[in-house]
Amino acid sequence: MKRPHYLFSSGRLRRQHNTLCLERTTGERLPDDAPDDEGLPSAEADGARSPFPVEAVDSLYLFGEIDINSKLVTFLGQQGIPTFFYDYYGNYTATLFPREGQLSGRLRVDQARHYLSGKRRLVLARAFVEAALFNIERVIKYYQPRLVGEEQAAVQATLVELKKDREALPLTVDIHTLMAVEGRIRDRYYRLWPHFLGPEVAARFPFNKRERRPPSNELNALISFGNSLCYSTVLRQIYRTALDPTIAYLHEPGDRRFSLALDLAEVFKPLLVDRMIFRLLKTGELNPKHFEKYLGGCYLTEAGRKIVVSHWDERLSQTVQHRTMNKKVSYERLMRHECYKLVRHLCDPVGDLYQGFHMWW
Amino acid sequence: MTILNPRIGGMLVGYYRLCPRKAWLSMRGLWMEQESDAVALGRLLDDHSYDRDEKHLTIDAEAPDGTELVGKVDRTNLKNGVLHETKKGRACEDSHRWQVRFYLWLLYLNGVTRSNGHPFTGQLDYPLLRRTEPVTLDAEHITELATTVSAIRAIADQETPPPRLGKRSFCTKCAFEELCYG
Ligand code: SF4
Repeated sequence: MKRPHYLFSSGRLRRQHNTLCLERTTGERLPDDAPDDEGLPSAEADGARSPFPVEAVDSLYLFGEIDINSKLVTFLGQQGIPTFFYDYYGNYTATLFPREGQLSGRLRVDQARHYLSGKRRLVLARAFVEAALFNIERVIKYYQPRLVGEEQAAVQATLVELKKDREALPLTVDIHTLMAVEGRIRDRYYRLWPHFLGPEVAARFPFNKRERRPPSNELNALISFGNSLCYSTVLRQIYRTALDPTIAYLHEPGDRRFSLALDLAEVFKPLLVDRMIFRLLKTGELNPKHFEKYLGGCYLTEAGRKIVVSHWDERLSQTVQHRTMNKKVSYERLMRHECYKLVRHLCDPVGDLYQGFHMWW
Repeated sequence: MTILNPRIGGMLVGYYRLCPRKAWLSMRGLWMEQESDAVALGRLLDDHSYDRDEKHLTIDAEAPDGTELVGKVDRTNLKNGVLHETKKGRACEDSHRWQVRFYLWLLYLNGVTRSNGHPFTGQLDYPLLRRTEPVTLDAEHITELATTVSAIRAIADQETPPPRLGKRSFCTKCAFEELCYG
């Protein structure tokens, strides 16, 4: 079965007949803002080669410093393998996206039509926020029974506020006000995180507010990294459908090049990213030594990233019993289904209204 | 939004006979086939099973209602006057038959016969099962095909897809299942 491949080492990735091969190099990767660079190969090869069959590769994640050439780009394109690049700090920086495989001009026209009509756009944008809210409430209710006293009261109060936010959703008249409600929801939710983490972990990883550029502390670093994994996973699913990833509804097409992935990732983040973070911190798999400070920001170390990535990858292949299809599907496959639901909505917004994925367990 | 002058092919006719929704979705370019192992195997069979024979005859025609028709025949044995269509298994047998009848109809519409004046015949090949099945075209089929093509043309103009078939036992075997129910 095809799986994503994550490369942490540095070196040269090349095509070798019909396989891919990483030729490792010696030397550390330098920060991407370090002065360099003459465009020369990054370092001497150390002789270690790891070939891997292209048939097994669904997508590539390059966390090390990797040299590539145009032959490889062509090959990855032919094989339909999207490739995600990360910088020295673990920030997602770019995607090499194969020329479209699945194409439907008509669907793209429908997608654009739903973007251009304020009303239609709002219907979809609201559905994303609504589902994200539902899943956030689900996470909160999962942790609620374990809390006592003041913490329990805080969670109760937040749930009441979230209920008001939910009631505000249908009243939003444009994307701007919808975004404001969305921001409010996230703020309330993040304020509960120290309670979910418990006093011990919360003391080691203080968290007061979400700060992205750069992430100001460990939790922000984790959220940023986790969200970028979620984004790229959704993106590689979109890529397998005829949807155009550049046309989005909640986010503006300019927010990122593939903003549809941002829209859909909203729905999955609480379940997949946030719960992963709680888990990794509470079990102590991640601890303060997995983080480093650079230039006023906080980032995961390479060892930390490896832990997160392997946990993420494992989580994606976990399965749940699907309610209408009557079979088990993986979390990753649920993301694909989300794309199909969107396709159905775009074809028939009345008969097949999109409802974002709701955690049903 | 309508699809002007859709060109209707044999596979689409087969799809329509199974499920109009499937035909509509595939006319929109919403293909599901790409990843399905079954389809990949089908393609492989088509490419490699009968290497020495003649292959891939393309036939154009116009239906009585003016619809443009196009047929891409797997393999044609001109000497014996037989059109062959290769399939993996007999799961959608009836739709396979209609696909071959459609090709025979295209020849009929073009007035093409064998040198002795007899019409071509068809044959379904199931190399994995080591079986073949003859297919012929009679007057009733011709009427039915004309009706089917008009019906496909009508759904091509439809803004929204035809409803799901709702026969779960059938849909679970369909490559479009996740697009319909996922
Ligand atoms: S899954 Fe069922 S409804 Fe959907 S296209 Fe296939 S046969 Fe038709």
